[in-house]
Amino acid sequence: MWKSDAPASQNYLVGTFACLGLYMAALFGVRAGVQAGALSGPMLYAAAAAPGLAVAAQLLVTLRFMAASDEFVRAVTAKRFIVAATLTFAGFTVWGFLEDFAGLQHVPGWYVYPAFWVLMGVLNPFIRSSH
Amino acid sequence: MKNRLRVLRAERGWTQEELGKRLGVSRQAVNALETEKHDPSLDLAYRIAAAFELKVEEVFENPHAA
Repeated sequence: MWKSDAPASQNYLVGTFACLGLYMAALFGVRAGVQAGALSGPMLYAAAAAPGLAVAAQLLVTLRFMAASDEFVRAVTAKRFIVAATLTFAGFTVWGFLEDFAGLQHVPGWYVYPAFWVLMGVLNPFIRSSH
Repeated sequence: MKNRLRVLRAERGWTQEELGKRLGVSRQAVNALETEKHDPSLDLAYRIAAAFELKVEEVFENPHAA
């Protein structure tokens, strides 16, 4: 059962921004480390796992938010998540083929995560029904 | 699902927030129920009926009624 709206929403927002911040920090940290020649071999592989951990943490934050929400908020959040994931997968799949066969500029794989969350935000006002 | 939630709430002078607290759901959920953007679970439908001291079929229209 839903307990209290405000704390769950606040925790979700704080958690989301913390994970996004961690992701960007890890990303630019690894990039700076490689450019400075400080990261290579096993250290590089270990450092590259940091952005992945931020993505996993974000998923846990979302699941916790859904568990603390009522059935309507849970359903709408799941719907937004699925639509945003579908659009992200579809968009990057199409782009990948166009990269290979139409000579489009390469888009780094780490763009996927921020693109997904931008879509989640954009979809927010449009998905307001659980149907 | 068609329902009389908004009318019943207005008759009792409750806000969406107040009804949400009685039901244990958010104000957004009450709004979504009133505007038919969410069909309640069986559990929530019974909680709503209990809050208004009515039967479920007195709050919600049975979409499968002959």
